[in-house]
Amino acid sequence: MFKLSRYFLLLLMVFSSSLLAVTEYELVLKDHLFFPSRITIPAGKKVKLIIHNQDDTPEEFDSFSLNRQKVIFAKRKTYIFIGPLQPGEYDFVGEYNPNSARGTVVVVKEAGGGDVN
Amino acid sequence: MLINTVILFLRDALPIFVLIGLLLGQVQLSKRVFIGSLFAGLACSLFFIQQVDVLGEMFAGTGLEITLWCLHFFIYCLVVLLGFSPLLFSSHDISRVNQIMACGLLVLIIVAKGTNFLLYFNGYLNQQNALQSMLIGTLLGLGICLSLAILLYFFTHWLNRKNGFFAPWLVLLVFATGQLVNAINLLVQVDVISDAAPIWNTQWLVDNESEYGYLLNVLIGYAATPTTLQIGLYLPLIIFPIIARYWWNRIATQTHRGESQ
Repeated sequence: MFKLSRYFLLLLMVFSSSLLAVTEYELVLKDHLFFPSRITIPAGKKVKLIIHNQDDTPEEFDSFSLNRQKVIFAKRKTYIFIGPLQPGEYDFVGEYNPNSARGTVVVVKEAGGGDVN
Repeated sequence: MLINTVILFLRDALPIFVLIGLLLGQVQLSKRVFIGSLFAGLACSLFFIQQVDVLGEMFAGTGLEITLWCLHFFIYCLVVLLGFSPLLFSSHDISRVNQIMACGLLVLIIVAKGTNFLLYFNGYLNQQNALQSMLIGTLLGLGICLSLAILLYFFTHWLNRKNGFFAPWLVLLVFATGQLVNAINLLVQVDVISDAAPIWNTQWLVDNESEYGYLLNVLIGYAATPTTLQIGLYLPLIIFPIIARYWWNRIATQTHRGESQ
């Protein structure tokens, strides 16, 4: 019984990260442009990025440096978690419109760097 | 739009063509079964797209990522099973079993990889002047993917003739492992599992977004910034099936010798 609860606790530790509070950041896609195009987040912390697609066409949020790739359907919103990250700049694009839909996640060391430019 | 289509084709369709090249080089598929599998894959992809909304809402918005990861996991399992088929099935059944597994692999990879491409086509085909650029982009992408698939077919066929079934299966196993390990990011990005920051960055050596980066990503699952979890899974997922196959083969040979004596 003790062994079973230990395994359950281990499983809970692995899968419970979503239950912990994380800071949320909003990103809007309109006319194939990301608003804001630069988001500043704190280093070493996991954050939730909520992306609203206000266009009539689907878009794919894509970032090689962030290792993230997610389709956002037309007139829908979705979310992804990013981090914990080292300080630096991480570019992302809308894969279907990479010339216009571009942005950067700026990771800074300062505590509580949740300002959005 | 033209360049976007080519890049999307290389990213999403190339794994399908690589698998086709690798499979046809080692499993004998009749033309009818092969074309049937492609159409079945396409039909399943269209059905999958229709269910994407429902899937996306499941498990607190993580349903799509979990489903896509499961598809990659099934691809890996089928590839492992394909390697064990000479040890598990009689020579009479092996051809038929391998054909069924190859069909399953084709359908699964078309659904896992083709869906994104179909979504792009579906979303942008109605846009003004998009059709011509998309068609030219598709033709260019198709040319590149077909060239690589033919090259891999001959390479796998040569490996099969020279070294037997094991060597081409190993290439297929590395490909499937790379796809599965890369798919872990799908689970990490919706926080189903947690992963730490990348453990190294080889962007200076091979850029993820370069031609070599794309190719290596598809063939061996190369990532310039892999995480601890990805590295921790990559090697065991390749090594364990090889060791298991070696031991199974050894036990089978010893049993066969014992029966002969």
